[in-house]
Amino acid sequence: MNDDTAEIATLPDPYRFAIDTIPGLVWTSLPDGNVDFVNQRWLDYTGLSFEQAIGCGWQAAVCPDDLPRLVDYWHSILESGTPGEFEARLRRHDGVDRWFLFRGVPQCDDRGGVIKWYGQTTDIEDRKRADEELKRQTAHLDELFELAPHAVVLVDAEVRVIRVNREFTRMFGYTAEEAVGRPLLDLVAPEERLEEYRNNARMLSSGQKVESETVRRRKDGVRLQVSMTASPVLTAGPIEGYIIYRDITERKRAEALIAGETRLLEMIAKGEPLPQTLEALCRLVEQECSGATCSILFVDEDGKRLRHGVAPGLPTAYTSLLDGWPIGPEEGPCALAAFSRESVIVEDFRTSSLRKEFQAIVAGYGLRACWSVPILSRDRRVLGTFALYFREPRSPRQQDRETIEQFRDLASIAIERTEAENALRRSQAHLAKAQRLSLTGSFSWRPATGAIVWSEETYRIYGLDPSVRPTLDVVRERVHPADLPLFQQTLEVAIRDGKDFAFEYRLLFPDGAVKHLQITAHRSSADADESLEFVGAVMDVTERKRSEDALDRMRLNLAHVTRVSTLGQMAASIAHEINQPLAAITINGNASLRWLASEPPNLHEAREATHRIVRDGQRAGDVITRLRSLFRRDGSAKERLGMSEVVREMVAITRAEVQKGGASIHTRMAEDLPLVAGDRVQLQQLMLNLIMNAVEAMSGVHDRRREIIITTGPGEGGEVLVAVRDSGVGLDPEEQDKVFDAFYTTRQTGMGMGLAISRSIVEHHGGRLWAEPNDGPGATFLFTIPRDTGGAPCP
Amino acid sequence: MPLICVVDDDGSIRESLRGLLESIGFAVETFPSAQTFLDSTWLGNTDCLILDVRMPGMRGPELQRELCRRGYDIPTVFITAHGDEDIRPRVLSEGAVDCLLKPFSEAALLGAIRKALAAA
Repeated sequence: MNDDTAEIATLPDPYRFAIDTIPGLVWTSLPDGNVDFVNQRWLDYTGLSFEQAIGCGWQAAVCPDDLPRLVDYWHSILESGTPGEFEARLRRHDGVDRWFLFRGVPQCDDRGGVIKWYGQTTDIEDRKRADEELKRQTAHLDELFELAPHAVVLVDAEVRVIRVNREFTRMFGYTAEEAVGRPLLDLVAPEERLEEYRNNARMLSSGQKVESETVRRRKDGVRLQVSMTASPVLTAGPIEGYIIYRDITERKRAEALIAGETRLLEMIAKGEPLPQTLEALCRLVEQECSGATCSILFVDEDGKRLRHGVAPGLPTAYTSLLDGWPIGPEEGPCALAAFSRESVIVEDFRTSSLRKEFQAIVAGYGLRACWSVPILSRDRRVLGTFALYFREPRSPRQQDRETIEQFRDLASIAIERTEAENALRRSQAHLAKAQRLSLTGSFSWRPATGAIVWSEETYRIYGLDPSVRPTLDVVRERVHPADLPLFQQTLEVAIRDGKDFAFEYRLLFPDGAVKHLQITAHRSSADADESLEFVGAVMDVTERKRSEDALDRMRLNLAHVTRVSTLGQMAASIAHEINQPLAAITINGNASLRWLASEPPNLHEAREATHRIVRDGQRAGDVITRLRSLFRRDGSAKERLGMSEVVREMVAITRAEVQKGGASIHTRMAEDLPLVAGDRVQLQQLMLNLIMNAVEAMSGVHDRRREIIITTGPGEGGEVLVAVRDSGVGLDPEEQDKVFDAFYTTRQTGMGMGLAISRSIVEHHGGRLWAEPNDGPGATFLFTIPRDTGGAPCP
Repeated sequence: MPLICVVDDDGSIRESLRGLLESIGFAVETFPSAQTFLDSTWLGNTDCLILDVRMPGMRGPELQRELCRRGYDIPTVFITAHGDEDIRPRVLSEGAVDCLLKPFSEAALLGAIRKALAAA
């Protein structure tokens, strides 16, 4: 211990105490660097004793890692004799190292020589840690700045570039050196957006944050769609700022593409004309695929030739040339694509293997490359081709291929949709035409909602304007009052049963005109869950009704004519029928006179003869009465009558004619047959025809009895069945139905109308007439007439 | 009393002829068909035959021929209600006395019968 140390050590207690209470580690050393004093706090911290610490002993408390540099530094200031400080870690008594600032200040004598060093060692552990933390954070921020996925620029208050990150250099094409120090305006603001740029810069300088999507310029002039965020950095000094650019060109492109696609789909959905839709499609693709000119060609219906579709950017001369171009493997990219149903990529016409002729053509229009793809329908038909032309050699990138496929599919949808619409339109036109021609309208009806839909022709039939909404009330107003109950009842049953229905009713128009309608409706909703719906046809049968009425009249006339003609043929037989009783009357008259003239008069015999006269007169009268009704022209009134009675009457009238034909007639009548509602004259004519037909069928028969058997009885359905059986030549199976055709006859005489008229008479009565071959010789003609249900007389 | 036979399928004619001829005083037999007459026992006694032309089964002219074939020469007067033009010359040529068309007058009938009886 030197003198100084001794000096301090021997300081009076109050000073000594003061030194020990200083919240720092205090020490002194001799000019040679040997420590001669450390305060109590130093000793407390290091855990060394005073004796251990003095001299060079203090070095034991310094962190070994820092000691060499600390010792070097200590020696350097000892040599220079200037104050100095150094940071190093000092080991605490418990082995923990903490950073301290070692500070030494020399005390010099008058000559300037160092006589003593005074030192303080200050705990800077907390500050040191904070510094390190700051450094670490700064490094992180730098890294973040550099590696940020967006372009980031730090600018000063004048919006000059202070710093740019790596993404900025990549995005805008400048090196950091080129950028730093220059106004950002010079680097990225496009000429067309200077105003907007300056505005943003002003806002930033005034401390406002700016966010926008805009366009910025690369070093090479290419415009970029960017999303920009400019944030001021608020410091005490002038306002600096960060500007972040995000390249949204791709996103914008995708958005534009989707918007374009949506627009196209809208056009398709709205049914815009196909050329307009396809032209819009071409324009969109040309916009998307820079340098491309689009062409869409259709394939002929026979699949042999290409037809011009749309190609807004190609010379008309070229498109005209392609119109009608044959499809084949050697006819150019589009013809080949249509032929092979595969994509055809011609990167450069000059180096392609296409025919020289084709190469010359495309060269003439300055075209160098063409990518063509077939447009296929859903059922794999080739509808056309979709091609992109370029004026320089070009091969498609993956993105191009995707774009082409996407728009090819859109074109396919547009073309198919148009095809379907055209087909639908044609079919609707045909339907409307067919409805117009057949006077048949269609309708649908949902009873639950009352919704009714009519076709154009239905409106016409009801005499209503298509602007009128059809409802049941609208229909009811038109229904003929007499048919309204039927109309109402039919619809009620239809709703209740949910079954198909058909009926006829009349419309009565304000001007008194009447239309006959025939309705046939089919239940279209098969599912029970679905609400009931009917679809059906409304047929204007007015003309048909008129024709039927005319036909009925004609048939009556014809029936009359044939009846009269038949009766004419039977004149001799009819005369016989009258002559027979007439002869008897004459003879009886003479006999009566004679009995009266005899002496005495034989009154008994005279009375008998007179009775016979009365009886035979009655008989002749009956014949006349029957004949008179057959000669009557109209016979349209139906009455309740018994078929057996009609049969009997006609057997009586035809007996002579049958006999003349060498035939006999027998009847087997059923008792208690129901009455029928019929036209007596028509039914008489029917029997007359069938009997005469039987007589004629037997006229050539010589080897067996000519016999007609007429039976009446109940039919299977409760109707009245009449059968006329003959023993004639019979029927060929082929003839069986032909015999009922008008003008069909196998005989020399006659019009061939008898059986045709017979059938129409039977059908007019709602019955059926047919012929069957007999087991033995001959044929049987049978007919049914429905029983009279006792209803009101039919009109 | 001469016997006159009547063959006619019509009952009214048979009855009326029987009445008239009996009132005049002839004996009368009537038959509804040719066969019933052929089957009867009167063939040899008949002085005059009044015969209907058209009947079911055997007709008048056939009966005439059959009688001839059997060796009966009965004077026959045909009567017919059919206005058949060729029937009259045909039956006359085969030996009939007369052929009357119904309705005929009493005078015509009696004239024909008288002629027949004279021939017999």
